[in-house]
Amino acid sequence: MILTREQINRYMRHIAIPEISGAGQKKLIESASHVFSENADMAAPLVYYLAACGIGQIFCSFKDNHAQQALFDNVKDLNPDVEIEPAISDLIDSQNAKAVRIVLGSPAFAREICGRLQNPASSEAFSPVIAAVTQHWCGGVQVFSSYNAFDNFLEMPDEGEMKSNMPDTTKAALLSAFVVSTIAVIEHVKYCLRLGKTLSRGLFFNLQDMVFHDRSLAEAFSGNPAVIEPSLDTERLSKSSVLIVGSGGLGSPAAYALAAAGIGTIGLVDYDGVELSNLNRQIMHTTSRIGMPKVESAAVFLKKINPGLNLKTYQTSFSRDNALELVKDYDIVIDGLDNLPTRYLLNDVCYFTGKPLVSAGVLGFTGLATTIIPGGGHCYRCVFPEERITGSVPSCSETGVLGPVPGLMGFIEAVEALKCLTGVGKLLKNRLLFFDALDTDFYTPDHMPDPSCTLCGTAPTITEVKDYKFVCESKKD
Amino acid sequence: MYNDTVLDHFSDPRNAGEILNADGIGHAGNPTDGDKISIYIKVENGLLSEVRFKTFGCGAAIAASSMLTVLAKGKTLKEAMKITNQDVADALGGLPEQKLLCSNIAATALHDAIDNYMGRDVK
Repeated sequence: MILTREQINRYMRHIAIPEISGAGQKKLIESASHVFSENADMAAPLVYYLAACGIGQIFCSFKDNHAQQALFDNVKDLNPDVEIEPAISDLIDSQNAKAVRIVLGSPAFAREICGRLQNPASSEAFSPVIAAVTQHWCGGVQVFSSYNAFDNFLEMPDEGEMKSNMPDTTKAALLSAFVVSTIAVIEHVKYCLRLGKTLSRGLFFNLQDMVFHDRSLAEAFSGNPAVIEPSLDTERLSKSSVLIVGSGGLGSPAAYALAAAGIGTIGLVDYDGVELSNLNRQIMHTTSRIGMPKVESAAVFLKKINPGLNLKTYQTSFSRDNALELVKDYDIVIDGLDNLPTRYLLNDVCYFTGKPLVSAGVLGFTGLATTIIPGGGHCYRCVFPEERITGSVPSCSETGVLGPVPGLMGFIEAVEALKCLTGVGKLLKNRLLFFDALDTDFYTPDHMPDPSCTLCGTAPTITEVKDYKFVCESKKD
Repeated sequence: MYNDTVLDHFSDPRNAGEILNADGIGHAGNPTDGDKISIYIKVENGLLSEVRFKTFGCGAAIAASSMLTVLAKGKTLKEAMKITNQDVADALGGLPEQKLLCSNIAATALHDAIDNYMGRDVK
């Protein structure tokens, strides 16, 4: 066997993707990453997703070493296969010569590090630099594949440089750091496996309005910093509550970001226990907690991020019997589910109770997200009418998914929830967000409510919460 | 959940990929489970000289596809038509019960590919 039995089980969801397979996973295990960041808190999701993916060696250069050791300990428990250590040198040396470099931080920080990486101390071949830049609600990612590629980024005059030289400690900046981190990990995987289109053209986004553009970092972060306002109302967030249904691939990043942003109360619903094959993407859980109920494992993780968090755990499946009871006390609901029948149930319950619902789904290299405001926009059934879907749902198979893809979509769900709770920005209401990791393509078409929708249309046929059969159960008879 | 033979074929599949100028292409899929298998064959002198697969699905579906190509390669069309899904599962040393129906469908796709080839031959 080209991988060990344990490795095959751990990376099962990667190996099931034809473009990765066992051979690709082996390449990832043999690859290395050198992470440059301002501090461990900002870099944590980046490092978690690199480790979950199975990037074999991770070297870290953090400007501020605070909390670095705790992060390393968590990473080693998430994936004991991974070696993580502080980098001996920032520059290319024998230790990290083949590592892909990921630079995460403010525009000023990224320019400083990229400037140093452009002047190599040795004559080693250039290994690519993935620059992941954040500025309040905005973020950008670009892959530099040669020495010359840096030129425009480094030469840009930066009038705001002096002002922005301090780390951006706003919650919005932390959220955009989380989002660029998952994109950076995806680019790392694509580079190692020669998959898809490398993001050399650059990507720029503004989470406030959830808009994405093809734009180089030089273009996106030149001159004056992007608009700083509005900031997230932390006082309001501390009094808000979010129910996350599912604590797996989507629930992990969503809960992580909400806890880090200072949400008051999180409710977590999951009936399942932690399995080894979860750990390529479900970063709340760890190897030593395999077998533990996921909600308990999540509690251990989330309490470390925010000891003041009021966490309520429900170790149960989300069903017709308990759905209304579960959602009724929460301000907003996040869909972290892995199957369509329960997603319809969640949509219907939120509609009948008037709760905003942020939904997302992932498969392979693709993701989808949308925000459903009852009475104010489309619902899940407007987009995916049940009758059109019956019989074509990859629900109970172990079809593959690349770890950082649910990571990205879960972080986006959290951002949408935070915006909705504080009334900031433009939601994915009456819009869908499609993500294709291979092309790093974000597409956000409008999607208006469907007047013939069986739930929220003019003549609804669904007037109460009903049960949806799991396709696998129905197939057995 | 899976035995070592299944894990081996899952993580290191034999004969993965398409055949560009295939003589026959067959499909099988259990859409409710998301597994989709395509089998591509090349026929020379009545023998399956090349058998390749493209599968989207779980570990069992990938391992079954891989094993099927190994079993079918070099066989006559008549022999290949006799390979059953059960033969594939047996060669893999068994598959979990719940996977037998959903994912063990590679032989069905091979039979479809041979039918496709025969149909083309008649024309």
